[in-house]
Amino acid sequence: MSNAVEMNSDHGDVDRLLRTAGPRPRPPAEMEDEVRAAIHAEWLRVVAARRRRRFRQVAIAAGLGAVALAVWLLNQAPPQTVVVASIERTIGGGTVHTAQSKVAPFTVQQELHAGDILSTGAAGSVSIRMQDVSVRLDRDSSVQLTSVEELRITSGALYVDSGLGQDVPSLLLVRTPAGVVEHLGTQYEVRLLDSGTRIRVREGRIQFSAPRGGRIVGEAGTQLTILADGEVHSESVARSGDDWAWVGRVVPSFAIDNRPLPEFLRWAGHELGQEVVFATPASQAEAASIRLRGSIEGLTPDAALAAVLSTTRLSSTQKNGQIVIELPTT
Amino acid sequence: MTDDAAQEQALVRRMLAGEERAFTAFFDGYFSRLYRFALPRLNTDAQAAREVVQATLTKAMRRMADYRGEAALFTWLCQICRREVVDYLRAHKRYTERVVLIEDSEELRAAIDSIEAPEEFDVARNYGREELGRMVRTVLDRLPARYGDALEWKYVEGRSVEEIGELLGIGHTAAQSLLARARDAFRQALETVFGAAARDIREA
Repeated sequence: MSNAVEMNSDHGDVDRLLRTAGPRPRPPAEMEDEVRAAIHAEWLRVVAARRRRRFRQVAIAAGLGAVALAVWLLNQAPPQTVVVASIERTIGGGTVHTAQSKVAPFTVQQELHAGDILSTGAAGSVSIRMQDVSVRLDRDSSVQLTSVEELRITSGALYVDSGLGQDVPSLLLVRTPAGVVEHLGTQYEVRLLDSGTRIRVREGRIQFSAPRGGRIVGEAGTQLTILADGEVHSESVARSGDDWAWVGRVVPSFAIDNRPLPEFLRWAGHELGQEVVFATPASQAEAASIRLRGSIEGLTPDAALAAVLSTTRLSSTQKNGQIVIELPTT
Repeated sequence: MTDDAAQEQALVRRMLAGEERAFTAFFDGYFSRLYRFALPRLNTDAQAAREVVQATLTKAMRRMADYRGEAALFTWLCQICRREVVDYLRAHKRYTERVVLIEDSEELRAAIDSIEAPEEFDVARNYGREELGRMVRTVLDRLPARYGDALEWKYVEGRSVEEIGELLGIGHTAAQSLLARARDAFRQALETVFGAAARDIREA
């Protein structure tokens, strides 16, 4: 007689009751993945905040004697460097190399100082904020933060977003081996290639200044490649699609709770490099009547758009650089 | 303190220390159960349940350091979830009535939450087969996650002890022993929830 038969004969009561009750319903896998990502992001934030608090408590517990020692040490130490940026989001991890030659893994909400070098690994990417400007680093990339308005890219790629609805965007200069890139209210990517420096303008305009004085303005949908000998190639480039996907993976959080749906749609369109249009006045009126609850923490803009619209009667299709918001026909 | 309570407190401590595996164990162990807890209280609206469970887990993350183990971790999560359900229903006027489940009655809730002191509660004679089935599934969710899963795999899905051992990452003997403990816990939980009627239910 097999074990299974033996057990069933011994435990027929449990067997009958559970068979009668049937299987417990399971949440859809896609839903589970989305909630997991959101809760994981929240957990990381809680852990980071707790570590900071603990560090402060330990510092206080060190007592007055330690304070006196610290005062003495501060008098001996080099001047404190200026905070120029903070980390908003990370994926896969990376390191900060400080001006005092200390290397440590970076963490969410960490403050970054002038002189710090930020590096991502093969699976890492990071999003930082410098004043109102969002700067995102792709994998295998490295930048040095030189001031609150300037950074230097030494490898890989970065993406600059001067913000949604900023009338007077904050200044940010990106130094590259080929020259300096300055935005004029925009979103763009700078990538260092073996052959030179490539700039892709997604929105607005940028100005590139060569070391010997030449200046070029790049418009939205333009790709500039500056070769080692200073020669510049210009061509058109798509403003959305797979080439921009890495930017969405490390998108800073956007709080949707209690915000009108149109505000979220505007953010999603901005992050996806597409214009949001409404198929009919009725779909626009429907969107305007909706206020959101919950969180899209940890989701890419694409996934967030799908998740949010799935809670409404509206749907979206992406075509010809537009996100079309529709109501089902009755 | 029971072994289960000690394990739950250890899990919370590991999560607060930032251990990735602890987060995975927590999410895998509680998300589905919490979803099943919320779903019938929201007229089986899956999107509403998703929103409420996400809000519940977000609050749980923020309050995790306050968890002292006075109640089982799942009971603590359900307490947060109940408040989130009420808030959700208030904010969404399309629900004209709040769903009140049998286990939301004070005396039965106390029995399910404590699973310690058996009480007389003649559910079997007052509720139908479908409702009884749902109550049994609720009892399964109140057991430690491995017990509930093992019983469902064995008796609902018809898996072998070997397969269950593989799913749990343990050997054949350990899986048999775990199933025995799970059956005892299940019977004890039935006694707690259904009182004297538990025997009738098991033998029906």
